[in-house]
Amino acid sequence: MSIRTEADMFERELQKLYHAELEILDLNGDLSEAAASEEIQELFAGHREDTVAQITRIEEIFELTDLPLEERGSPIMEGLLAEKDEFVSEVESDELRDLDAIGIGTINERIEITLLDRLILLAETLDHPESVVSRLEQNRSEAESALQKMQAYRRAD
Amino acid sequence: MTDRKNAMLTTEDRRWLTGEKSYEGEHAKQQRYQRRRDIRKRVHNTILDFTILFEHLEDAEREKLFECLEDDESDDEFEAGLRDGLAFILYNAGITETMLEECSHGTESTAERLLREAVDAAGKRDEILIEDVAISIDATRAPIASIVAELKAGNEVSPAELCLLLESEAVDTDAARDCLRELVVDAE
Repeated sequence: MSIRTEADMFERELQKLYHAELEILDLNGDLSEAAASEEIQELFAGHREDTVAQITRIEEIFELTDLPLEERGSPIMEGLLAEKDEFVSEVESDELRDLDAIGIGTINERIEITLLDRLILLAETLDHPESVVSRLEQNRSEAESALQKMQAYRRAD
Repeated sequence: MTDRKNAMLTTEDRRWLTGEKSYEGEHAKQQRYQRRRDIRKRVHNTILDFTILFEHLEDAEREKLFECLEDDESDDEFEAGLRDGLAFILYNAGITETMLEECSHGTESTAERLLREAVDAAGKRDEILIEDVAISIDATRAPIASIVAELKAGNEVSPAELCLLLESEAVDTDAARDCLRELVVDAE
C-alpha cells in the first residue's frame, strides 16, 4: 500500500488500530491471567467488554467511510506482545508480575491513544462525518480512562 | 517453546497452532482470521529470507549455527526442526505426488525440481559440478486404516507399516512402549 494522500493514511491507520484492538482482546486476557493480585486481574478482565465495544465501533467506521474491513499488523504491537510473552515466562515474583502487567497495559493504552489521536486529526482534516469522529473519540476516552486507572495503581503502589 | 525470541512464529502463534489457545466470544472469527493471515505472511516472508541467508550469511556465522550437528552431544530439537523444515517444504511442494507411480505421470514434480536445484546450488557453493541428481523413492500407499485391518485379520504387517502405525494417532504410545518393554525384557 503506497501512501499518497491523507485518505490513504487514514485507511492505513484504521487498519493498524483494528489489528491492534483484536490483539488487545487477547492481551488483556493474558495480562489478567498473568497478574498476581485480584485487583490487577480484575482491572484487565474488566477491560474486555470495553475492547469488544471498541472493535465494534472500528468496524462501524470502516462501514461509514466505505472502506473494506481489513487489518494491518504493526511492528509496535508485535513488539509489545513479544515483551508480554517474555515477562509471562520469566518473572516469578508476584509483586513484580503485577508491576510488569501494569507496565505492559500502560504502554498498550498509550499506543492506542497515539493511534486514535492521529486518526481523529485525519478524520477532521478529511471532513469525515461526526459519526466517525465521535466513535474515535469514544474509543480514545475509554483508552484514556483505562490509562488513568493503571497510573492510579502505580501511584498507590 | 515460549522463550524463542525473534522467531518466525510468535508465542501467540505457537499457542494457537498447538491448540493451547483458542478464540471464543465476540470477534473470535476475526481474531482467528487475523492469526491465520499473520502466520501465513510471516512464513512466506521467512521463506523469502532463506535466499538472503544462503547467499549472504558469513561462513563463520553459518558454521556457528550448524556446529551442533557436528557435536557428539547433538541438539535433538534443532535436528528435528531441520528435518521438519525439509519435510514441510517437500510435502507442500508435492513430494507425495512422485512417491506413487499412479500419481507421478512420469513428469518432474515441483518438489523434485526444487530438491534437484537445491543440491545443485549447494554443490556449486563448494565448486562441485553436479552431473545428475537422481531421486529414488520406494513407496506404497499405506493408509493407517488398512494396516489396522490387516492386523485385525491376522495377516502379516511389515516393520515399516508397524512403524507408521506407531507414529500415528491410532496407537497409544505409552501402551505400545510398555508392550515393547515387556517383549525386550522377555527376550533377554
